Amino acid sequence: MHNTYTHGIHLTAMLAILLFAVLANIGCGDQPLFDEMAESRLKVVIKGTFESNAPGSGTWVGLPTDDSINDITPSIAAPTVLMLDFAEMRIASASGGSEDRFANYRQTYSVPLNDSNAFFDGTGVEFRCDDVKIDKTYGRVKLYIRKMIFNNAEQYYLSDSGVWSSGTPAETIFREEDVYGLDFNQLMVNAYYDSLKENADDINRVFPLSIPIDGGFVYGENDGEVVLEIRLVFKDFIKQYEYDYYDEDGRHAVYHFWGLSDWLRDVQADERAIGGNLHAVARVYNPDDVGIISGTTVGSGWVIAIPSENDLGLPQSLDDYFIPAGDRTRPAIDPPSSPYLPAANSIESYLDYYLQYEKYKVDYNTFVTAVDDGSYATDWNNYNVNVGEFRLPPLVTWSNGGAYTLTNVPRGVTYNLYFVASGNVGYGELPEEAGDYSASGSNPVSVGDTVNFP
Amino acid sequence: MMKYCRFVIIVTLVVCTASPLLARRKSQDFFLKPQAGVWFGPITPVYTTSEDVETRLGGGVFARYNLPWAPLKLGVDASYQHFKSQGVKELTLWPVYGNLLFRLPINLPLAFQFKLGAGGSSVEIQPEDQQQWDPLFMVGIEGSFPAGKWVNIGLRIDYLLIYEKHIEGAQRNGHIVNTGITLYLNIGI
Repeated sequence: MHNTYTHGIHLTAMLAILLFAVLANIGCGDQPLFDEMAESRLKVVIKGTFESNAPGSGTWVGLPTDDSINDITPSIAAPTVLMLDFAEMRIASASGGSEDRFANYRQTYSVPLNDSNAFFDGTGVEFRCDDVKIDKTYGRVKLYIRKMIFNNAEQYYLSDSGVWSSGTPAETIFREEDVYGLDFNQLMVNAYYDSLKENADDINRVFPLSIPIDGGFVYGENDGEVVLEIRLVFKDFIKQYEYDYYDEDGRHAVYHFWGLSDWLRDVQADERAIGGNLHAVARVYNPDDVGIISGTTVGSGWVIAIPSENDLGLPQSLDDYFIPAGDRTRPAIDPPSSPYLPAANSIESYLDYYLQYEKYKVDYNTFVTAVDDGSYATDWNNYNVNVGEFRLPPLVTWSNGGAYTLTNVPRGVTYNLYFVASGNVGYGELPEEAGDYSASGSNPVSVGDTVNFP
Repeated sequence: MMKYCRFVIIVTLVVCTASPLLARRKSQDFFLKPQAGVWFGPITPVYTTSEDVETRLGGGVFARYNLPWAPLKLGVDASYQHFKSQGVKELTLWPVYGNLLFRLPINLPLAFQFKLGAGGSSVEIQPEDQQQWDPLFMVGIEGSFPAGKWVNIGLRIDYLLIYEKHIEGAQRNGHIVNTGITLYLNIGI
């Protein structure tokens, strides 16, 4: 009897457990979640062009030199490769807070400088990423840039007799290997304005580079593939600079290197900070919900489209993106540069040095007056606010004069279109607010419209 | 003769005394009692799952019941396992399964058991914010020693396969290895 009772308990327990195992499998889902976790419906594409599609032919030789070159003027060979090392990318709210590490993958790119590379032909290169949070409003992408290197940089030393050595190729490390070139990213940490501030060491403009997402970004639960397009203006925006320094033996030396144009934030002789000149914008589109806007232009130039209303639903124009030329003019008040001794074994050099030192003291007294009356801080703060208002438009394409097509234009909003004649914007420049562009008479236009610029 | 009789009597007494003692030891294998316990330790994604999330700490509870066939036990096991990545990816599992345990017939204080089981697991992924139940299969091994008649202390290693390849278009399953310290009680003594 006892035996039968015990076996009954055993059988019941066994059946209960087996039943539990079976029940646990009932109602199993039909979504491959591990695939979903491994793959991303968000795709990040980085382009090195001002244009969002169909950029024109670039200029890769005969590049301009900056007025920061004042010690020696040898010409260095034009760069042929751009090396980029990105530590990671994060996405944040419009204010830059509440960020998510959606692309925590170090990625490097070695980009030949020509029109056929995906980085420069309007296609873009992909940046590995994960999905972002559902229904969260994002407004900024933060790109953590470790290195930006153009090759063909040269290093020169000033001898004790005051003669500059011939150039030797500068070396740096990229992808854990020695390469020729100069990592100008380290010089872009601060803009010149930042270097004037007491907290300059706390400012970093490239780690991360904070990039606005034009129109913001909310990722819906049922959204399919979504593309986050980031544009960094490299193409037709390269310039030669001079970087002064003193080595461990006290020798004066310079680098001549290639960096990004100081069109927005001017860099002058003997200044080391060239930051604030990497212009970037991001936008988001669903490839299944986009169309084109096409038409013709009479001459060559850029066709630019911006949403006709801003995030607050207010009308906007291209004036809200670009700034007048006058806003880029640096304040006249600058801390004077201290003189240096060009040749240690030359009496003339010493005499020159002391003469310059006297001038330096006089200039400094003038500078102190501007500091004391507040004009120095006011002028530079106003300048920084003005240049900080410059934004890249979300949609730009090039026209050789004739047909043009803006592609991947999101549906559901209307756009204002503008034309910038190529003659108004030179190499290493971007359009300005007054006079550089003309608005289409058809504004606002919708996806699928044909817009001709007379 | 007298000496021989005395020897026989002594031996008989010893045997008679010892036999119940031996029999008592045999009948007091507390490991054969129903058991319940907890475990705690590293939970490690392996194979393709390790490409997305990283090792964390997890833990769970379990209960076991003896079958009429002495080396075999039936168990149920439930745990909470939350994995994070260096990015935004997160994986939360609630594996719940039944298993059959086979105790190796080794005459040692240590008990070694093989485990084979099946059940289901709640799977939740972030940032997609999706959740569902998936079938689960497991295999494991466990070693333990008694700490008194009530308590057993042991180590366990379990491999959990969260089976999703039955879903149309699925390319991956979930692969998790649980290792942990386990503490469980013999109940009903």
